[in-house]
Amino acid sequence: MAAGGSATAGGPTTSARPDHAALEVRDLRVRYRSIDDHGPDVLAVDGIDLTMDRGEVLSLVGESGSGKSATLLALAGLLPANASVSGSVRLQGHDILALPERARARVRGRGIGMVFQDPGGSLTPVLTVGSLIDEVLLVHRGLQGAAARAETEALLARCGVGDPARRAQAYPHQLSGGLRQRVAIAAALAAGPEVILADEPTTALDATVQAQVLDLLVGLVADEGVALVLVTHDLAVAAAVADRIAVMYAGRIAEERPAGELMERPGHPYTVALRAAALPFRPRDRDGEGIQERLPELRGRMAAAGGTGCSFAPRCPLATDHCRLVAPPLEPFEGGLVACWRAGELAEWPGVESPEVEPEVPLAAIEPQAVGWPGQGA
Amino acid sequence: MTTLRAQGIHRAFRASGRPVRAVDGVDLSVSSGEIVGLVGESGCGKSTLARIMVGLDRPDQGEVWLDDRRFVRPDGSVERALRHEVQLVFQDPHASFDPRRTVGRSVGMPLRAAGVGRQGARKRVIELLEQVGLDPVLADRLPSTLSGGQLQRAAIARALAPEPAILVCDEPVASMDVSVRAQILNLLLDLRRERGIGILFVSHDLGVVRRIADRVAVMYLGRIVETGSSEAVWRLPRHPYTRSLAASIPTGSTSWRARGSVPRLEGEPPSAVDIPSGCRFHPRCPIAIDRCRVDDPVLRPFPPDVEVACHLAEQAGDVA
Ligand SMILES: Nc1ncnc2c1ncn2[C@@H]1O[C@H](COP(=O)(O)OP(=O)(O)OP(=O)(O)O)[C@@H](O)[C@H]1O
Ligand code: SF4
Ligand code: SF4
Ligand SMILES: [Mg+2]
Repeated sequence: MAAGGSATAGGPTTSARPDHAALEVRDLRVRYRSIDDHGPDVLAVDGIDLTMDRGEVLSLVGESGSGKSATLLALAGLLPANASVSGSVRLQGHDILALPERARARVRGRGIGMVFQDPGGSLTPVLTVGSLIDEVLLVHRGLQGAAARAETEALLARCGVGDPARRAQAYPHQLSGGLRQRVAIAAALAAGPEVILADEPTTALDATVQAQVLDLLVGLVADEGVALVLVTHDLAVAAAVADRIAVMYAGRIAEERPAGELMERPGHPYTVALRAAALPFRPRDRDGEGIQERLPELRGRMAAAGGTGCSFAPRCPLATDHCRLVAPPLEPFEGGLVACWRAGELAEWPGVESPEVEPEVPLAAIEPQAVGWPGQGA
Repeated sequence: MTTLRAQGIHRAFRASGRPVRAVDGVDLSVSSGEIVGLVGESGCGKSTLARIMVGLDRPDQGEVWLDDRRFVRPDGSVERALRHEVQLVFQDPHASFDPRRTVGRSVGMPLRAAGVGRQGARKRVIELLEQVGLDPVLADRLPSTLSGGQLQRAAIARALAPEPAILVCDEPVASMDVSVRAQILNLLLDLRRERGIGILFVSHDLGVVRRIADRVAVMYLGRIVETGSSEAVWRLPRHPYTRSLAASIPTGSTSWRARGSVPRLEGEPPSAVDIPSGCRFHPRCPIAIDRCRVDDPVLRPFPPDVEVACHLAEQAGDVA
């Protein structure tokens, strides 16, 4: 239920379909001051816009240090003391960065659920997982005692935790990584948020468990209508679950488009490189004969944010002098946005239309279902 | 041409007084010029097996051979004269370098230990660093000043110093960014092609193994459940566990999500403390039959070169 407590201009915010987006971010910037006062400041996020609707999955993808986590931490209000934020973040109709601190914490606590890579880190080790979720229910929904516990168990069950009454008595360290992540997701849902922010939630998990947890997240988005921002370095994971993908590079969005279109016809050279590096299948020769001896590589390192020109230019095979001087703006491109002077020409660039990486095995051939295993028992 | 061959390896540990059968009867070989991927979920015993195959841990039972020479004997003792032939590269390079020693000195240690003089070792270190694509000036730096990718290259250089025939790499790219990961994988591919080195590549990431291995061995709870050429195993994974693993890697296709009906493997990787009766995969197997609960399947050959430990392995072929 949308809990728009203090009504904003424009009428009641508690209607079934509020007219505002679930999350609206404008010109977000995050700067880390160097801790020892000697090193240079780091511009981690350099002006990004995001809009999320309910029931939508947006994935933020990019290399280490591209600013994905800084973006999420800024939205969740969890940046360390040496960071400063500017821009606007509209949640449930409020510009939370403009609110006084206590109101901001309340709106965030109710409106945003957060899930981290290491589920241990977001769960207090001294509380049983049940009391931890009870606590969220008390603070944000005023539930107590048996009512709270019943809701806690329902949340755990909803997140695929079997035998929730017993599991609620467990401490986080007594659970496996996959179960801890399910508990962390239940805790993130407890306040009834409109937005869930998940930072690499499956990176530390085994492949089979990763698939289960991604299924759970996608199911929650569909059933509960929350908006999910999923941060991952793995473009294949993003493609698997996201409606839209935003590729980040050096603190900015390089490309943001519907997942299928971005995977099929990337509009930014960096997306092309990421895609080549991310896909699990072995590269083949153009003519399909034999196996290439090497994988596609993206050489060099990401430039620091905030320099002149396009920050991808030093690694970009298409860079021109113009690129090195003037940073390309994020402009409409085939269903989304791309920041590249040469986005329009990319289609003719070898390696874009016919990806170097092709699945050799149609996945259908390895789904137990498609292969038609005989029924159980016998 | 050299082949490293583990035979009948068993290894159990004790955890809170109970035996954990980490490796429970495994044969595995790697030859010069090939990359063998050993893949499985966390805790399946792959790192223990890797350590045994380089002579860093002793098996309770079984032997490791280098061609016709016995490298690890049934009593667990290691033939030291053969040690240099098999080298290990770890997951976390920062943990495997002495933080107070320069990178060059660490890389040269195996040479100095083998009696190579200071000058000679230095010269060889420079060659090795160049071979793995590192600027030789990094030899004089401390490990903490190198990036993870650079230091992993240095770790590979160090492993190459004794001129081994076989490298065993335990999750060498697990903590790396996609761009750095591709560079390290390419380095391994180059070493295989240009120097004919054999590589045992241990990983929980089927996607990565898929990209570089010539042969794969899929491990589950201390056993190899399916092995064969990459081609054949991916064309038709016969073991239900291999299938589930394959179906759980995102492929870059956006239809993965729409396939809500794809049966995912239920449950979590189990612990080796309580190995189930019969087929150890049966509690999670979507197609288990009664026989699976009592009868432990052994590896059976499927031409041309695949072996599968599953009572129903034939049926994958019938319906494909
Ligand atoms: N607490 C901090 N103090 C100073 N600089 C920081 C801090 N945290 C992050 N940074 C810097 O901010 C930039 C963006 O970092 P961020 O953590 O957002 O990247 P990321 O995209 O999440 O990377 P990864 O994939 O490694 O998690 C980097 O240059 C990083 O070094
Ligand atoms: S603007 Fe130029 S340098 Fe930047 S990505 Fe596009 S082509 Fe490459
Ligand atoms: S032997 Fe039975 S339980 Fe084991 S994998 Fe095959 S079908 Fe499944
Ligand atoms: Mg991060």
